[in-house]
Amino acid sequence: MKALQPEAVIIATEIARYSIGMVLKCMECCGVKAHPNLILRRIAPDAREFVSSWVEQTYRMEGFDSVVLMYGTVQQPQLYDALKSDGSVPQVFIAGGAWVPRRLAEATRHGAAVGMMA
Amino acid sequence: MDNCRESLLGGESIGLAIVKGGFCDLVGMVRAGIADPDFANKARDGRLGEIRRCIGCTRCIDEASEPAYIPYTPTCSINPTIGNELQWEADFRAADKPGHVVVVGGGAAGCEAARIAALRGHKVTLLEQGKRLGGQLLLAAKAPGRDSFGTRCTSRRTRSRASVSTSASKPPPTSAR
Repeated sequence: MKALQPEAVIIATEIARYSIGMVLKCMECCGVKAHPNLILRRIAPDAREFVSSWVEQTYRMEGFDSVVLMYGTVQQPQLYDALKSDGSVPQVFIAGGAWVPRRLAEATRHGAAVGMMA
Repeated sequence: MDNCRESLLGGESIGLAIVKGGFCDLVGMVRAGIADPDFANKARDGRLGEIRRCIGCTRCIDEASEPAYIPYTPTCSINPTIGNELQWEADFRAADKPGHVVVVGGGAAGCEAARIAALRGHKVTLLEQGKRLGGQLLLAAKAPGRDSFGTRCTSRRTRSRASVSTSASKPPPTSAR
């Protein structure tokens, strides 16, 4: 018996396994093609240049009108830090994505815990 | 059990109508019970606005099949007490000194912090720079089929407890406990 080979490359690992299928289906229906395991190295006026995640193989893709850069969420502790250093507010807490961007359940639990401490 | 149906997501009112109409004897709603274990009683009593409705994110199923936490911990994106009900019941107490709590940011964490603080007796003001509560959920709700991620899961329960001020608030609402 031939061993099963993985045929799917996991992308969007932060999306739950029972949700990602719908997302990928919608993307495919819209004609979106995913190119996993590529790291964007350079955007030139006429092409995008990538390097493989696994080897030093580079790739060049020409022909595009727009480039949309997507970044993961980042923490936003600036207000918390400012209030803490100011010292005028007796109790200051930080919760949810402002502290550490995680998933919804973690943010909800964190918020509830802060509500209990106030 | 022949006369049993599984209700649609968040369809407690539909489920009630089905039972009352005599179409079946039992409507099963599993995830709805995880999001709000008291949903059936609330629906029966007509307190639909108090129900913490399941948003269908499947985190509960995801956690059961591939736990992120060891040992497995029941997890719900909108119900922070699931799996820890007894601990929450033991820990929950009224505020020693009810004060004025200001929550900055009306995302999931902010809304829940505001709600719990208000339940404990604090006067709570929730500030949100946008026009709607929900934070990143509002972005997630734009995905096809994910409209349930919208403010439905945060705004009504939060607004019922805390004074909410958003950029769309004209004039700012009166503070309320």
